[in-house]
Amino acid sequence: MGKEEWQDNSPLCCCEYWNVEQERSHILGCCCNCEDLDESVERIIVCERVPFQRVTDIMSTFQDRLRIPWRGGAKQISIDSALPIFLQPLLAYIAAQSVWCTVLVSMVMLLSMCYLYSVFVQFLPRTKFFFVWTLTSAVLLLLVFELSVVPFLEIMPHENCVLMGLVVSSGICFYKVRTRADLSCVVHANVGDETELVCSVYRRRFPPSTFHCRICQACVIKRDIHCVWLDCCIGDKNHQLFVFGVLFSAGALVYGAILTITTVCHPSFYIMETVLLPDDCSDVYHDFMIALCFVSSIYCIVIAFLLLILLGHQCWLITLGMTGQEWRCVQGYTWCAALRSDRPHSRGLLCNWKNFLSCRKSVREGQARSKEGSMNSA
Amino acid sequence: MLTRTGINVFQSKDVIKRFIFSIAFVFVLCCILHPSRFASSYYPYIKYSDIENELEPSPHALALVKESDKPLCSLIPKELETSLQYPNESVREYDLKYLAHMHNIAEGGAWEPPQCISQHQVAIVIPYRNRTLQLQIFLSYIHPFLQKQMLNYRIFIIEQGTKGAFNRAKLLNVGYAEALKIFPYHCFIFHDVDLIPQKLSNMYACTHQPRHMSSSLNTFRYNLPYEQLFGGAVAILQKQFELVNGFSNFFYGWGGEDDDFQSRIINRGMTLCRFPPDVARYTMLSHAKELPSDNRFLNLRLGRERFETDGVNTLKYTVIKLVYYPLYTWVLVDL
Repeated sequence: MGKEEWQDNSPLCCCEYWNVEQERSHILGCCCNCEDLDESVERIIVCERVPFQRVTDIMSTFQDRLRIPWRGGAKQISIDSALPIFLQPLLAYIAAQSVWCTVLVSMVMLLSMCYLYSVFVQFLPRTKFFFVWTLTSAVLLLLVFELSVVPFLEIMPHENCVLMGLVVSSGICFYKVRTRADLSCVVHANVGDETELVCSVYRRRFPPSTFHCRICQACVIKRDIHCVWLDCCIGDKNHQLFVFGVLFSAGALVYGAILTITTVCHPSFYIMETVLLPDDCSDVYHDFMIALCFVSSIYCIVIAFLLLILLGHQCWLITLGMTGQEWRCVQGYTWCAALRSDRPHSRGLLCNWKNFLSCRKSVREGQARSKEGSMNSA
Repeated sequence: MLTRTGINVFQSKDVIKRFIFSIAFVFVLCCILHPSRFASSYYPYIKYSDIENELEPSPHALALVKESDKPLCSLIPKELETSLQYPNESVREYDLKYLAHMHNIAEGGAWEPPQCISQHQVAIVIPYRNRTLQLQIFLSYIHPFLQKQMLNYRIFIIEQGTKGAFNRAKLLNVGYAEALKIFPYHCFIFHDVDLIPQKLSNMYACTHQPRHMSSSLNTFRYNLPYEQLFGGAVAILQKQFELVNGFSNFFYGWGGEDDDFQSRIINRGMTLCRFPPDVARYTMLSHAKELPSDNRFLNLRLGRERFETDGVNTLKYTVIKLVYYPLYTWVLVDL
């Protein structure tokens, strides 16, 4: 009773928050008053075993106090969201030391990303790690380009404009993909009933290809994939924007990588003095900033390669008139097997592409039919 | 009433915030897209068709024509190849000996066209120290190149004999002085040993104004970083070089002496000119990079007062050796 009486209930400032014990705390007090930590250190000094419970308590206090200032009270950030922000600059710094460091860091990063991705798909916690990784990558690459590569005075203004245009277009596309992801989801009355069975009911009627997404916990109309890098589902309303976003970002990455790598290496003209490509990159590691630019352009090339494979796959599926979900249901799971499967929603090559590029028609059709469906079910 | 004013205040705060954000966004955008952060995109250059008019022939050549029965060569030879040329980077010592004999190069690295009197009498002065490999590649490439342009030329390699920081500018002054003792050259080209011209239409002759030859260099992505750049390879008439009092003798170490030279030229009312970017293409031979000198900015600032007192008129040096090698005239200098 006494505690509640003297507790100040005025609005929190941006650095204050309510901690796990419902006390008002400040970010600056994050290093003070942790009894678990004090006891553990005492035990370590006296060479006694620290019980596991203490360690978990310390970890939970640490997670509770890990906050950033925000309007209306400090917001908690989870470790998996904050990890890419510290990990990426560190990996870039290590990779820029020598050729072998670059190779080692690339291998480690690729393997751990594959492992994390498979773990994520299997165990499904909704994590923001991949999304924050995407954002941090974009910000760091832009900073490296504008603050490191441009001061060499070798990039022309129109080349920079083209690159910025591609970056901004892909940014807008992906932003819209995220905001319109909810429109592709079918809103159900009882959220708890969002299961595979409910979505299969929708699937029998129109709109077609409505599948359940375990991560988004919703039925998604014309579900293609769940994109962890954008932390949203790709369905009916945002598929077109997603494909265009992938196209623009692949273009931006390739163009930015070529501009960077021809700046730091010795370039040469190819194809009748039109295309400038790097020729001799032997002395990039003598200077740290040049090595950093080189490493970031290698990173861009690898990501662009993966994006182009994704783009090719998406174009192939559009040509066949299938969604990603349908393709995954096909036996054999290969690109050729999809050709041989029966594709109920395919209308032929040209019609499929026409439908994809003018997505408004199918949206209206889908809306009308879903209204019909919901009316019938009611 | 109170709530309505409350809403109005809230909306105006929102508007003010949006306004501030948009101003900040526009400011950041202007900073990012400002042209001075990038390479020079539209600099004035001589058009390809005007090159012939801009070249300044030697007055001495006309006198020579009267004495001999040979005709005058045209300012620019006909049917020059227009494709991009590349140097042969695997050159051996043996190839160089063979080169002098095959191309009829006179001792000291000099040559003139056998059938006509060239209108360009050019001394190519190259400062040098410890770049043996680059020198071999350069010489094996440049002799056939210059002969196709029908020039009366001689190549001077000025080597710094003293240990310590490399003084490129003073070596070029020495090269100028030594070249004039051999022949009254009317055109001087000050050239770095690691630059290879890639187009035959890039005439190694002088234009009416001092010319920055290496404007389109492969290590700069074939762009010009800034318009006042005057390093690498320059072509200047003998009388113009004398007028600006040559280079400054005080720039020891890498950097600054080309900017000082450019200031001297501007100070005398002359302007720089350049050939078109696709003509003035150069490729740089790779070598270990030099660390920039700490003094270069101080030297540049103080150099402005020394235009009259520091240059060819106050040049002091000692020639240790002067040898007429098959492919070049070698001057070993004690600075």
